[in-house]
Amino acid sequence: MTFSLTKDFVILCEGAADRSFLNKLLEIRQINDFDLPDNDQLGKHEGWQSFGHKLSALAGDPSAYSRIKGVLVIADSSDSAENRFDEICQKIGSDGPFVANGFAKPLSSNVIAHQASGHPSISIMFIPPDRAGSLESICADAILAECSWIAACLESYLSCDKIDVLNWGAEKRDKARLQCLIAALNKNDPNKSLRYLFSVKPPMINLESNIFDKIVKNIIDFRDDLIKL
Amino acid sequence: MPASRLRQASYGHDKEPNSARDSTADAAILRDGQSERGYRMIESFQVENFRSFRDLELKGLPIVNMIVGQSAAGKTALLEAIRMGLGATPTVAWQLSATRGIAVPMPINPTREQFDAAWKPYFRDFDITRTIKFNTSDSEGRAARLEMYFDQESPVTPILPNIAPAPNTPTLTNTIIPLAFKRKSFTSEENTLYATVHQQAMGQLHLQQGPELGTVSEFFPSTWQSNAQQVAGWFSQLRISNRSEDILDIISKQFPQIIELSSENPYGFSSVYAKVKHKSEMMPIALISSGINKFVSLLIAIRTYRGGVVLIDEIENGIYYKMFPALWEALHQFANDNKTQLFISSHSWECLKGATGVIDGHESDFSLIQVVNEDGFSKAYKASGKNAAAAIESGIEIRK
Repeated sequence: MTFSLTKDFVILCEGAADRSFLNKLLEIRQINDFDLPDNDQLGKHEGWQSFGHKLSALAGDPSAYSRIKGVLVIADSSDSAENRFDEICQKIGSDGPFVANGFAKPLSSNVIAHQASGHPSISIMFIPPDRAGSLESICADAILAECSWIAACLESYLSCDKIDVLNWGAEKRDKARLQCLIAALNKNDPNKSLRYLFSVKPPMINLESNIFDKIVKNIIDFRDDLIKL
Repeated sequence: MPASRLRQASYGHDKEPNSARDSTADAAILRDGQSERGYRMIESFQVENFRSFRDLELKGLPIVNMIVGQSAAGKTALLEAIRMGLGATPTVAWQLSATRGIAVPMPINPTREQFDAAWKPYFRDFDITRTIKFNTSDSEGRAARLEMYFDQESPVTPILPNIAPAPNTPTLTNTIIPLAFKRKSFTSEENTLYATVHQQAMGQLHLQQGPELGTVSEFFPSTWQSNAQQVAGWFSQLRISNRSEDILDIISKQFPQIIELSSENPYGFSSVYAKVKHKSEMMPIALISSGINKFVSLLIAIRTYRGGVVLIDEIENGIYYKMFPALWEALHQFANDNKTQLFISSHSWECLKGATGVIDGHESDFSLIQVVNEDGFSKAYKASGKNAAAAIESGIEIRK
């Protein structure tokens, strides 16, 4: 299966779970202007290191690329969004479709950087938008908001000093937290993936929750700022 | 019908054009050892008003150019445009029409409409008042130019024999407007050739001859099937000049059962023969496999047209899918070894995917040209080899 680029805006994300989440979020929030390419076919270009390659892949469809107004890169905040921002920019500069030193680095996350003629504008956005962590962090928040009865048990388990999860870095800690929640809430198959949560109808995570509003706002602002130009 | 086969056909016009083309190709062979001087790779190409192209410009063309696009987008037209821009003779135009099945034998003393109809499809919107323009620049900074237009100032009215017409039958005297090919070669020689009719010979079609513009080229249309005699002839020439051994090396690397290649003429019909392991007799390569035959024929063509351009439409036809990576590897190696520039169209995802392995590490040798139809016009967009490979690897649909 191949993916056809047809829209004016593109979201690039780190991997399959992020794509499932964003696809479902955009669908539920009725935002229809973004392509989310399924460009992980070989599985060797995943994670934040892949964004340069993924931008090159967009440019490999030159007629579509010439039409794309903006590319929104969405990555996990990780333990330091500031560091990750610099790392992503470096990878885009080195692996992306730009000539040497041709990538115009955005001033910071959620700021649009206009590129040289022939390239779409680019912005980098993080999940969660306002703290360290990852997609798992915000998904765990959403589940806990719906299933508050499990919170005390979960925190008690995670704070057990034999495993000491609460002292792990934010990204790993929240991945562990979400895995515990998924296992606890899926008796039939405790091994379900994050991706699965968005594939069922209705999604097991309430994407109407205001927990996701900031992400949606950033996406809409990115689109609208470029449309205004 | 293969473009090259048409050289052997007669359309009631002079037969030298083929020799003119062939001699150019042969000259390329004879220039072995001076290949840098003979290097004529296209650096940029521009065409106006040709078929569905209003104004197309391609720049920075590397040695291997992959062409993709939907049916009727203009892929074949782009290949034809390049061939036309380099060949630049009435005969090349006639041959290209024939590969599309358009050209029909021109009647003697054609009406103006009959004459125009043979050339009209070259003109955008079939508007024969336009001028078709081709501009080609090579890697040495030289430029060649061709303009095709109906020369209103040079009408031709054939002089018919003085035979009394049948009673009540008007004497038909047609006047045609000849199609001019105004040319400037890479070596700045300028002249004009005409596709016209003989004024004397009953108004028979006359395609004026001349050399191509300096860069040898060959076009393999999608319907191409190996012309055994022609390929055998090319191979013989390569054998004579001791330049065929690496063809066998590449072929036997991919197809170890083949241990020898030679051009043979056992029954008055030349063909490339192969010695195959465990077989008692050599056999025509076309009998072994049509895919291997195409593989071999393309390598021979690339070697024959060294320093020039080989254009291949729908390369995947007849090729087994597992052969694609090896085919691309061989084409790339041979194109580089011979400085023969390739323009290759494909509809096949498997075929394009087969190229990614060889693009990796040789990104600057490749480009992707995407031909799309927008608002009724064919347009072309170019991507670098690196970006094309990234897209193909990532499953981005580049064929449109």
